[in-house]
Amino acid sequence: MVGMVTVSSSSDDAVLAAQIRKGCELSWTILYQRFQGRIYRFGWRMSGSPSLAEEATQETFLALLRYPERFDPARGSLGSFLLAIARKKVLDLLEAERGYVAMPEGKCENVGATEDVDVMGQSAVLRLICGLPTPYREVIVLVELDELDYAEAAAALDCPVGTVRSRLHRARQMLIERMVPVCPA
Amino acid sequence: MSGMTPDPEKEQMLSEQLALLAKRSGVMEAPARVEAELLQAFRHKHARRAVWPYWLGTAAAVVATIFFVGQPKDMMPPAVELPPVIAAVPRDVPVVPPVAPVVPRVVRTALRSAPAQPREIATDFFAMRTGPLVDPGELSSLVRMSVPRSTMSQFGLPVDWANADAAIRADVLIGQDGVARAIRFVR
Repeated sequence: MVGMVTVSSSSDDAVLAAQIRKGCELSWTILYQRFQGRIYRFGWRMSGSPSLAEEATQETFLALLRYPERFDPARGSLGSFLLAIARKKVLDLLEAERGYVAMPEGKCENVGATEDVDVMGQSAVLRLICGLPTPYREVIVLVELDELDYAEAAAALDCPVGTVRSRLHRARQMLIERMVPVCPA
Repeated sequence: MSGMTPDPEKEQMLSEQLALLAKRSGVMEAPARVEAELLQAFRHKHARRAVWPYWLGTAAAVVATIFFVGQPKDMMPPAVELPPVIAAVPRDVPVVPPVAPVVPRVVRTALRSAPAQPREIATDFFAMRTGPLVDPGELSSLVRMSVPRSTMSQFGLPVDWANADAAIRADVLIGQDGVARAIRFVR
């Protein structure tokens, strides 16, 4: 006896999660391939560290594996759920590594229209982003780099949309200030 | 600092740099070892002992063999191959332990009562476990899903790696225990 069920893209998340809870390896593989890039990129963009991004990715999916019942399709997509977990993991790892490095005053950053990549392959603007306080770094990464809209970013950060807008505006101001050489005339 | 007037030129420069960073980092993915370790953790969590007595499994295999061999060929669904794809430069495929069974078994008859929708072309079903797909009297479901095209490589189908992340529809046979038994790809 076979019943045909057509699953739309919006219900894929619920079906995937249910199949994973039952031990379906294919569903697990599909889920990982679907979301790993996004989670990894978020971790890298927040820290500039491939190893931190790798660890955050692993911890995020392990959290889902351990507690799959915590995902509620009625509250949001699986991608948003995983991103929220990843955010907490990244913040914990940054705190543990004390990854916040304030840009020293007076240092000139040559961020021009052409690509400016240091020996580590990181752009100057990424270094500037990683030097921002965490609340501002998050909105820059989510909105400007991950290209989430304000509502999605607000959901990921668990804050109002207005807070996302104001933090983004302030974050951009801070980046521009640090892009300008603060050198004595 | 709070009194700074906005500078359109600097805003534009920042926007360009952010867009460039987004584009350059947009292709980044987690290393293959992460997938392998997570898959190992998944299997460890869901490891289960075989509950089938040996003799019952053997009997089921005999019945399945008689069933498959006894079907007239003209009642079998047409074996449709996906059109050949031009193999682009293959991307690095994660080294993942093969999903059992290692050699996918093509099922031609067990699911002939569940044809693909009209005007659809589908591959045969590929078994995802050894033994019979559906036990006698067992309820099962056919679920349509969207999966990455790269999934087809696990079943020996050619994949255009330049387009591997694009979605393709798949019908997955789910047993009463919620475990996937077979899959076919649909176009």
